[in-house]
Amino acid sequence: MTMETLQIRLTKEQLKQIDERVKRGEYPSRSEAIRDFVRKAEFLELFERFFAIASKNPLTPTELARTRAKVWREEFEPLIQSKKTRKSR
Amino acid sequence: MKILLDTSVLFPGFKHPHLDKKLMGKIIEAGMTPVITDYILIELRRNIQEKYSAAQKAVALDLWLHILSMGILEVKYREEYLPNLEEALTLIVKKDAPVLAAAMLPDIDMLVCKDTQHFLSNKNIQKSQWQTKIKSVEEFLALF
Repeated sequence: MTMETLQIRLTKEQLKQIDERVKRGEYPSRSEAIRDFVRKAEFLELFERFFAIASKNPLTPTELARTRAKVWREEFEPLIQSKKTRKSR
Repeated sequence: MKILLDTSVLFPGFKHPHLDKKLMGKIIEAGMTPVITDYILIELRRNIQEKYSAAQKAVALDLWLHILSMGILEVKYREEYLPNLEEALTLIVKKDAPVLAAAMLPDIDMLVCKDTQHFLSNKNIQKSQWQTKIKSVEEFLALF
């Protein structure tokens, strides 16, 4: 992947935090740390967008329980049954 | 640290939706790994399909595909947690057993959920070794 170089300004405290994480071995370099922060920020933004959509039509505990019961019946119960049948043979 | 997220905290409900948003922020900020399961993904898909208009559905599914493609969220599949299902079924109602079974995996540090009746106030779980792994959103946020 082609990388672009840019100059960014950070506070001393921000840079200190990045350097500490690099020192601890969490990231191989400052650049990798900043790339990871950007990726995570994008991930959180996507979640927030999903939440914004979903909040318009929130789920009730009853709806959650109903869907879960359905998923259990359709996806897992047959699986458990077939396991039991195999065991009893 | 790996945090298993129940459907109840991934999908805004009536109970404290602002805390759900905070929860994911805290997990990412602290460098923890959010985890879901195939069971939770099926539930999410069903909820999206049943609850939303065609336009909302398209956006929600696109967002989820994008979220999954980023590789930040770890997915546990049934092959991994099914061996724990038998024990989970002795502690909790059937429909919630796959979630508890995944929480029992040794690399899962905590399960965060909102279900008071079946998880948080469940007497069987409270008496078991798994009790310390199960947290409400409020409890989790208070820890970090």
